[in-house]
Amino acid sequence: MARRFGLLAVLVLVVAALFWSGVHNLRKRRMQMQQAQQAQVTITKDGPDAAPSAGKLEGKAAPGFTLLDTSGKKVSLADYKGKPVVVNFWATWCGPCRLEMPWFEEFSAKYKDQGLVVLGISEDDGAPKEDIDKAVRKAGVSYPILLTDGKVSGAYGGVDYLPETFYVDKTGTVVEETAGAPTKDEMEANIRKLVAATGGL
Amino acid sequence: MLFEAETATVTAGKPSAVELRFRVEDGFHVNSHKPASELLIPTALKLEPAAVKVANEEYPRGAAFRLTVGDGETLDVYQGEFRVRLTVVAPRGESELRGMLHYQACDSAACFPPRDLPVVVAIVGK
Repeated sequence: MARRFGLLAVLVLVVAALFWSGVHNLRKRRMQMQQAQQAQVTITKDGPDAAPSAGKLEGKAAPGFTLLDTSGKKVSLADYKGKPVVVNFWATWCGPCRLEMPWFEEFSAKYKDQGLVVLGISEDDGAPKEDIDKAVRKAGVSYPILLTDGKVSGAYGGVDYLPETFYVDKTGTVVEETAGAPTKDEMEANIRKLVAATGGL
Repeated sequence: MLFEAETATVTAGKPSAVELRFRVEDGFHVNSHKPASELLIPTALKLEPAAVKVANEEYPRGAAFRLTVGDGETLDVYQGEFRVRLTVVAPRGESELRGMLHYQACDSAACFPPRDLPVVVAIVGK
């Protein structure tokens, strides 16, 4: 776990230097290329999301939330107290998120008897609901998809590297959290750990 | 974020080509201007109205990038350096073109939220 978030920190720093940019007129390419070399600037993130965002809730109480699902129904984390809950932050524009979602669907069925609940939280702030529905259909998932209120990610430490997943046991404690898409085996290992922590295995 | 660009000198009143040059750090990619899926966010300039008229924006073609998570997905992306070619008509004298490059970056396992990179281009029409 520590290694994974160590890697995350490095990746965030790398993306902090994502772009440098210059401009040159085609007719003066050579001269301006030389100038561009001098003008290239490392771009640094200076926003509130500059720091790595995960790895801070393990062992702590999962922040509560009440959000609307895609059908307009209110869903609260507290509704599932006593059950093992996977809280998965994702977004329609996040390819790795959409590709791991079928695994959550598969495991929610596989560990249904142990009470496993998966809640997906779409971080598509301001995106048309049709886009979210389309992505959900494409991923083929049937577990509840909740719509962000713009605050819930902040409560979870500022989710800015998707997907991010929090494994919450029956007492409401985060027993594991991951950033980035794991392998399927890693995901199942986390789910088994969660279910075991809830006395289901 | 910081952005710095040198001055581009063009012929005043005539269509002239100006290239904006960007670079994506190794290990990351951004969607091309025409991503493979409508769910993905295209890289695109949003330029403000100015004395410099932008007659055309020409984006490079993307390259195929295979995401290997799960069943996988083939994306159309920019990696490394990419250049956006503008055709501008600038007045005589000094003027400025301002705007944002809207992009959304990922690596092979995760994505960052969409960002806007400020773009400022000083143009001298002679």
